[in-house]
Amino acid sequence: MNTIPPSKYEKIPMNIVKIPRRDERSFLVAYDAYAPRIFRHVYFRVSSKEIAEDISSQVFLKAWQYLQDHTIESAAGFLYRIAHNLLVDHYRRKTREPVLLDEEFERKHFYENDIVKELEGVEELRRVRRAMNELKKDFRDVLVFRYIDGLSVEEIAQLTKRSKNAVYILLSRATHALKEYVNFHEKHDEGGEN
Amino acid sequence: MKNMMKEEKIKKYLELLSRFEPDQTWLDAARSDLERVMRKNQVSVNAKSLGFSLIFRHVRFAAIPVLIAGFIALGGVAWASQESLPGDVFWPVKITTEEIQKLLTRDEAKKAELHMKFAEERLDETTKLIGEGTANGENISMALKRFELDVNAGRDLVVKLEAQHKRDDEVFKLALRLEGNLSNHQEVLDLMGRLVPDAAKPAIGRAKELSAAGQDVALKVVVRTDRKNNVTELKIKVKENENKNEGPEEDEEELSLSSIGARKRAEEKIRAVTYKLDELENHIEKMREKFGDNAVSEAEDKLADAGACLEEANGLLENEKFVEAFEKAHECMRLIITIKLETIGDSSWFDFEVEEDTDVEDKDLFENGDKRVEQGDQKIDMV
Repeated sequence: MNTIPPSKYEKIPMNIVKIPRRDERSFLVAYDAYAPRIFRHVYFRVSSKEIAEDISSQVFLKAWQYLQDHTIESAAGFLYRIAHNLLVDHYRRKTREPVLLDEEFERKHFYENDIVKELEGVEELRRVRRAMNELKKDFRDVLVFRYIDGLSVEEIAQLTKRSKNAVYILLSRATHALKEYVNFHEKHDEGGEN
Repeated sequence: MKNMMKEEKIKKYLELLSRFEPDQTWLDAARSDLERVMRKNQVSVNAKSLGFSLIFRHVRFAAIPVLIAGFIALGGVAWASQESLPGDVFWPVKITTEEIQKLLTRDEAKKAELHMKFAEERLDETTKLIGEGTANGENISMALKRFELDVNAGRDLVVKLEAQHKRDDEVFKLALRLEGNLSNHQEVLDLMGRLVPDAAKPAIGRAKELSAAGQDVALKVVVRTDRKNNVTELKIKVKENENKNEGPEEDEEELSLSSIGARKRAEEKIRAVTYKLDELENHIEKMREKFGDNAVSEAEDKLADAGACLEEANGLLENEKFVEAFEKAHECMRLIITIKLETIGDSSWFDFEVEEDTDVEDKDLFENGDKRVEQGDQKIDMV
């Protein structure tokens, strides 16, 4: 498989942005650095562009409100925490509704992307996305935190209020479950082809 | 039937999803919304910007001498310069204030800490310049030149303190902090390198190289003083036991457990280990491309061991078994340093000297035969 080129938004250390109370400049620096990451994080947890945009905007508005009376010591950690809380609220409200992939949005962003075309597996990527969407929430969330957001186990533990060991275990189970789902789809697709 | 998809490949696809970017239109629109909200809030207060910078901008040419005199009289210059950035009129005042602070600090360990703090401040300023869109070759170079001076001075003081062989415990902590800071700085500078105009890139490159070299020196001091600390820590422990002379007879272990010093040291050690573990995790991620997925997943397995070790240390601390907690944390630290050296051992990044044979000092360093640093048939000499 080809090497994936680095993203425009490489992993940014969690503690680089301290935002002093009411400091607009620092807050906008944080927005520029973290808005794509927060959006991506939310998107892969809700699989809807509109909802992800809405929640991500709320994250920054809430952070700005908080900043009126406080200093934010670690911008990334703080923003993720707000996003996580808003997502938990969202899950509570939407538990019974099936989550459907935003096919049109994903087609434009993934499957017609030059990097994906260079790789052998547009179909494989589609299977991974489908399987991700079918995973139970805990599993999907921990995979998004670890592999899509690039957070450390320690950071995930802090955000989800679990012990580090619990995160390691959850991560291992989630990866295994994802593999099972992907392979199930692969078998199923091959069955269809034959 | 085709081969089923392997876990590594699935992770690769997940990584690919992390390259996905949102619509620029939404990003811009959300930013404008935020700015609108900020403008509304601005009416209520922004004492810092209204108080000095705006007023100063309007009258700076005509009234500089008067204003400066006024500020000196009120002791306000330092305050006014706090928020200044390289290129601002007050920035040299801020630097001078910092210099005075360093001059007045006699203790060399504290002085080293100040150098680290001010180096960090220069990076914060650079970040703000980039965020403001006013970064150029000149102001970035100004900031990073000062950054280099502070990094060099901080590093030299740590090395000097180590050579004095007096305060190994303190030097160990200082070096650990310096190493961690410089590791973070490199990541920040790396990010900045992609955001600044071309004219500012050479200064970023130099600062990054300097940070990498400084980190190398700091890491070596960490390893050397860690070994010395074994002896120092034991001496402290014995002394604490000797000083305990009240209450019913207790065995040596009980005396240690009840000492306040032991709790403090255990907590400090665990804090240092937690910090180091996080650093290592970042390093491993950074090394993924250099060493390939297999090497990284091996390191991640070991990282899990270190994580479990830290959990144990925390458990012991919670149960007020301070000495055991300290010793466990110490064991974790050794494990982490070993993993780090193994992970980066193939890299020329840190330029550790590599020798063909194991020597006595290697054996001493990794006593009990537990965590030996090996790369194939070669041993890494860190002394």
